[in-house]
Amino acid sequence: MTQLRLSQIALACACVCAAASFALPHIAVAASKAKDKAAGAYVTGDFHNHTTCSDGSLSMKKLIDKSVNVWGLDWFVQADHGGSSARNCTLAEDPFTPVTPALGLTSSPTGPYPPNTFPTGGQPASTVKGPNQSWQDTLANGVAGIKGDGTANPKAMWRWQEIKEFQYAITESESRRLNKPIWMGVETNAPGHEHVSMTILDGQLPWPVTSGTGNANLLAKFEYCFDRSDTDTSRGAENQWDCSFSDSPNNNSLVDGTSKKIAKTGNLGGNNSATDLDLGHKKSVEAVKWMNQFAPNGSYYVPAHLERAGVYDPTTSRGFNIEHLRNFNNAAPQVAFGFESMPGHQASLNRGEYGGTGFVRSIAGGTFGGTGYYAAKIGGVWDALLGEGRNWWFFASSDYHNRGIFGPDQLESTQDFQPGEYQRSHVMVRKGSGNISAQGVIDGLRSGNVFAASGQLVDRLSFVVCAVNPALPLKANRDLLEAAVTNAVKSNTDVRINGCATMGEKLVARPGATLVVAMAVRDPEGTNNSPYSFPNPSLKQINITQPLNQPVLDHIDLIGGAVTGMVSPSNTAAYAGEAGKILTGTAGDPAATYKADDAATLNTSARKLKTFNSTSWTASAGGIRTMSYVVKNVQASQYFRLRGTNLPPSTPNETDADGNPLLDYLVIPFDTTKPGTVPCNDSACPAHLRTINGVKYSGFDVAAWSDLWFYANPVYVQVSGSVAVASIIK
Amino acid sequence: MAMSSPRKFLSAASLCAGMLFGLTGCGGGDSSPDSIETFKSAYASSLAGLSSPAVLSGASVQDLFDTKFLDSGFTRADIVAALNSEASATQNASDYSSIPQVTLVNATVSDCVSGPDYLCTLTGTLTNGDADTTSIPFTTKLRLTEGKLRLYGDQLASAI
Repeated sequence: MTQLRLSQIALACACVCAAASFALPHIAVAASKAKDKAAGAYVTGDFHNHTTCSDGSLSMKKLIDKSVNVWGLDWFVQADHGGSSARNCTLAEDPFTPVTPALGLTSSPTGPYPPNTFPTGGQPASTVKGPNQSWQDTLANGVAGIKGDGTANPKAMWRWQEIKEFQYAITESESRRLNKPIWMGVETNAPGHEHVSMTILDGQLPWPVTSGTGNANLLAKFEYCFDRSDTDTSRGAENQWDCSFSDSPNNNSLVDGTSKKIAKTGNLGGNNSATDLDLGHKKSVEAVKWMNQFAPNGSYYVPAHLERAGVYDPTTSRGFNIEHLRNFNNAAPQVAFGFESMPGHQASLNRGEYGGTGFVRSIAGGTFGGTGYYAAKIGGVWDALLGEGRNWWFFASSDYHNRGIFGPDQLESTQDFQPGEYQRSHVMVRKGSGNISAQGVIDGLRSGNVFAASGQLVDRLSFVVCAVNPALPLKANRDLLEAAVTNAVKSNTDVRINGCATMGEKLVARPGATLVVAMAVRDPEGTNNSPYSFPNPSLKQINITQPLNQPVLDHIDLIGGAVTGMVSPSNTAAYAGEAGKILTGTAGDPAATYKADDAATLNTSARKLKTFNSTSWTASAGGIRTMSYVVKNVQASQYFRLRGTNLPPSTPNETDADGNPLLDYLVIPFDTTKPGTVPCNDSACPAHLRTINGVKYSGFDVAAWSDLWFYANPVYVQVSGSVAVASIIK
Repeated sequence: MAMSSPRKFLSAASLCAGMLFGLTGCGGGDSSPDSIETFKSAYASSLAGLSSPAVLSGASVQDLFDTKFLDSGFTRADIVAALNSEASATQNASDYSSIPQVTLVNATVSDCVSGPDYLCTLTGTLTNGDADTTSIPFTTKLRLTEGKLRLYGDQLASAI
């Protein structure tokens, strides 16, 4: 793509985004006074997962049961793909849970059930039960009950109808039965791009609401209006929706007269096309603005696995470049405030489903320690966004579809982990003495007071940046703040001290101030959810014997970068660009070559400030690790963030000498005829691992359980007189 | 150390018997109970009042730091400059984040040792109670000059 093309896109988006004009729109407020912050708790959840109402394998009830009961999540958003589906996910499996999950259970495609586990495809059709049956065969009025203008046979039901008339009722009833906030979202097929995890809570009434009947009508309308796979032109049948809205004159000029949504003849999803290169992205920006107008508090719009489909391609619907993320955040920072750069599909051979035959253009070739290039690279896209002072946060979700060759009640996987099983987003919800609520969770996601971890590497974290009290010795300052973060981790809460800021907040400091960055994590004792207890094969390479189900945190990196201010869309060279673009070869192939990352995707000031490990943190009972770092004479606005792993630097095929994660394809080569690189020699290494010439190699779920990471969102420091740091206006 | 006016100083023996003043483990010296109480009171009240620009920039808190103060590379001049800057920032920036505030309780002065400098050890408990309560044991060195105890610091040229 030429530079001219980039500038055209950036300028086009600047026009589209005119309603949220560029002048620094959201001067941040400093961290709230401690006494004004309600006490809170970090709660775990997942907002990207699938049932048979799209391309998943479970009913809604079984997926919710797995997520909330089996894997213990505190909150859950059920979010199938947009578009349409022929299967009825509201019918539960029979039997629901036939056997106790364990290793080594046999799969059977024919039954009987029990003792055999549920087949991967759900209940056989011959039993005339289960969520794989079609809407057409199971609705009381058959095909007549399926609305809209779909023409397939069996007739597919548009997602808007599934959400509005069938799926929402399940989430509301299950939420109130299980006493946990469970509600509906969508993994929308974003016009011009791949996928985005989103929700609109407005109208829904999950627990702790226990009376009245809610609805997901607004979410359903969004799906009709803005999903590129929803090519229904019926305006939602009797709903007669009109997707025009007052906050965007550009949107109204793009709306099709029949369908009342942004669409064109032959391009009903409003996607990018060879004849209209910008239409799709324009429609996605309008979607964000629509959410901001109609549901500013109850919405989020989080691009999912955003590196998977490669760099943005205006002739079709693929990835997200940095300018698109900037456009979304500029249009509505209240709604578009982060990305899922730790994707699901962590147990698949091509980890994250990046690269391989399905996604040959994945950015930088694949995932790095299970995380996409945009966040895994120090000084890359995420740091470039943080370097502007943007509220742009990091999240993780399961993207659960199925367990590959294994059934849903087995514990092995060659594809996905179930929600809560492997990776979790931990969100601060300020509930005081009340219950967790869905709105509290969304507020927490928006606040950025979130950390994400795989494999339960850490399950608690406290991270603050504080000004030093000059009337106290420095050691006393550090001791006080280390005690505060340690106490917070013990209580699963965060630090509320004036003069301190935590994740997603900013500390307003005077020039010349001394700061203390204080952190504590809990490396939980006992076992994690891994079903395997044999030694971690990645660590065996360096003579470390560590059971796969008892990972040990090896080190934490404190990363920092300068905040230099928001970049104007008119400054094309600094605003728009590509990172990790493949030039030759296929993603995952070690021989592939890549274009140098464009300047707009870089923050060259970002670097690792310090690595903490067992020689430099204080270990206390219960697996708590506490540490602090002093910044003297602060003069310029900046941010700090954390990452950590169970793998030491220079672990072959896993980490480089600086501790950065290596491309996951080094463990599992793209070409499946080639052996892996990390042997799994223990007698307990499972049979589903690839064996070549008599040697079994790490891969699939074993590779995922071997290579664990956590990421904490940033704490900003705004130095008076220096660059202002933007964030959400509360 | 030579005795000066008996009205100013108690003997070491009677000083050591003065458990009322929380003075323990005396090895000799002439820090009086008055000087101890004066310091403890001044330091505690200064810490408690540090949200006020007037206290931050006031002579009373700045006088708590000895001329030989050195702590993790910070000298008395550095501390005075920081206090004055904090006072200014507090007054001039409406969104300024301020500094963590603490109270000092259970303060004791002990282990006084004469030498090139007459040094004592201050111990106590620092507490922040903005929302949740965080308390830590606290210890630091004091120096006695001209009858007054002042903060002396760890004498380290840089942070540990």
